[in-house]
Amino acid sequence: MENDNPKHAEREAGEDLTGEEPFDRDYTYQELIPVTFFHSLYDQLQGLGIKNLSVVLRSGSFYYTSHPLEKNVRLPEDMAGMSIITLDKWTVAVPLIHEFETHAFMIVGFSQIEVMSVERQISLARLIGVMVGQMVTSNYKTRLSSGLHSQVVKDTYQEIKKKTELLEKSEKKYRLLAESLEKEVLRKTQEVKDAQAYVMHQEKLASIGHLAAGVAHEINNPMGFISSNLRTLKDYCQDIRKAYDLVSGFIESVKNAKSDKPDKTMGKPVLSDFLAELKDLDLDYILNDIPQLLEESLDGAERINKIVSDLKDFAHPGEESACTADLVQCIESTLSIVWNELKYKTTLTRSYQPIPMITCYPRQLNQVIMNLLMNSVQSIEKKGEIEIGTRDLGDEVELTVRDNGHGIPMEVLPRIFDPFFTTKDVGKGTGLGLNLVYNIVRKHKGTIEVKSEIGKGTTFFVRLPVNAQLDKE
Amino acid sequence: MADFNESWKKLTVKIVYYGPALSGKTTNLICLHDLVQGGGRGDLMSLETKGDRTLYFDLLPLAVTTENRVSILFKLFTVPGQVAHDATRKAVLSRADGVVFVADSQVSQSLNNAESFENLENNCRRVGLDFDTLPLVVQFNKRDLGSIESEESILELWGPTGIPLVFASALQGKGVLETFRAVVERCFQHLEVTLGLEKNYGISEKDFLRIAGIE
Repeated sequence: MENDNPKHAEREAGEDLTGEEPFDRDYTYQELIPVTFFHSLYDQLQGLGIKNLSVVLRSGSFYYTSHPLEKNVRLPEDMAGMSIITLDKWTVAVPLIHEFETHAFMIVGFSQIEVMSVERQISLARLIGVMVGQMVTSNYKTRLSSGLHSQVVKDTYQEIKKKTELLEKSEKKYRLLAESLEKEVLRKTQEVKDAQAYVMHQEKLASIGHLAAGVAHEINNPMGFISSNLRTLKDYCQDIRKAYDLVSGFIESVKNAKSDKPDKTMGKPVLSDFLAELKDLDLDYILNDIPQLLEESLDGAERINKIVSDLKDFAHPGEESACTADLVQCIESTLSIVWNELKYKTTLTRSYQPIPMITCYPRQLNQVIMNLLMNSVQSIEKKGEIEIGTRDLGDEVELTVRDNGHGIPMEVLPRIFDPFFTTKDVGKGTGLGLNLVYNIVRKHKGTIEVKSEIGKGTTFFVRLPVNAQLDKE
Repeated sequence: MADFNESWKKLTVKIVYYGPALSGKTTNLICLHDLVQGGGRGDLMSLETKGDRTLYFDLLPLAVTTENRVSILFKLFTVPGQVAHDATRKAVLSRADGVVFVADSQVSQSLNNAESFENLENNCRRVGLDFDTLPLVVQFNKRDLGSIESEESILELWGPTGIPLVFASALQGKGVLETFRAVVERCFQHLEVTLGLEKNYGISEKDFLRIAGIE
């Protein structure tokens, strides 16, 4: 407890005490008991014959006084350690003690009219002293607890603030992590997509490679008879040359004979000999055969030309723009490519209904038709039938590829369009054939359906919109 | 943080009773209140308790006056032992001149003792008290109970630390005064070094010990 000049202990610089006064510091007198308390106390005490109430601090200064003290009242010089004292006949001084410390004296002046015994005066003054003491103690308690409370609240707040900052930091860290993770996922997805596209292309090349043998055969056939025809024509050429020489020789000899300068060395030209020799050359037959041979060869060249251009359509890498195309033409050009694969094992039936031109990527549709046909062929063990057809469904056209091969087991059916799914032996199939079909159909905003029965065969139904809004490649 | 008030010729010494929940810190103060004979003693002030658990702190003021009329006021505080009240514990510990660590001797409480002691060390650092030079006494309380750590094992564990150890049973009044005396002794030695009590204020160790009833 300190008097009117509060002086607080210096604090050590603890982390939490910045600007905060310790709760257990010495409190000033003003803080422990307000002047107004004595005001109201005095108001009540007047009725008990008390005329004057004053509080004098240890420094000698008045903290409170109801009236200036009369001159004859003299305060002791050193009030510390004193108990209750009577200053004169009507005045009593009570020490106010807090924590063993007399911090002030309360001076109680009694009425000189209503005379009260000294004992009563002392009892009354002591009672007031006890009241004030209790008041101080109770205020002290409140100060201590509210001081402590505010310190704890501030400290807790700082702690929470620190934790919040840490949380914010780690939240930010995780957010950044999530963002970079997202980027990484996108990057990886792109990588997988690229790899898939690459594998798809490989698959396409592989199927073309497989077809090349067949295509070579298709080219070889007309090539065979073209070269054979050319050889024959070469022979014919020699024969015609011979005939020409014969004719010009005969004409020369006839000329000489007429000029009367007969060549002694040569005999007379004999028409019958000449005709016999000419007949041996069989020019009639040759001249009849040449147009036929040429016609055949041109036809063969045409066939080669067609196959080569179909193959070019097929294998052409890179971008393709959407255009309107005839699905039947696509089927036919694909058939010419795969014909070698089909012709020995299968009987092909075409059941085309007239259909409108559709917006599509024709080369990609070729791939679809080829993959479906190849699957059909491979499902046939020795001899079988394949039917390929088209139907007009109004807004859509339908392509069907039906075979009477071994069929697809039920448990496998849901997975046939999955990438890398294959029932073929390792190395024989990539498992991308039908997946590629599926992707192309989806790109055309079409649908694909399959019906299959073990031992009876499989039918694929591909439906393509006539006027699809196709994304750019 | 002992504070000498020149105008009032008063030295205030703050001693904090620290330790795990229910180890008997308040019981120590209640008991001291009855045992201390040497000087003035105030009432034990308990702020905010819930049942027998201290939520804020208890405060016991004790005072002696030296021959040359210097008054020495000892303010004895307890902290709330429960883990959740760490901020309160920290605030009460702040500016302490000496600490009594009241440990619970029961075997089941050894972990709580260790955690609380570590907490004391941490809080000292946080309020800017030098744990190495801080006057500290460890009291192993509740010696009257069964299933307690043996004195041998406690001495074996704590002996090497050099911290004075007192075995006590606060409920029976045993060891309480000895503990208090030990911490007052250490407080004097420490304050003699930091403030120069004898030279600057004429306060002797005898004056200090008089509070604990030793002439």
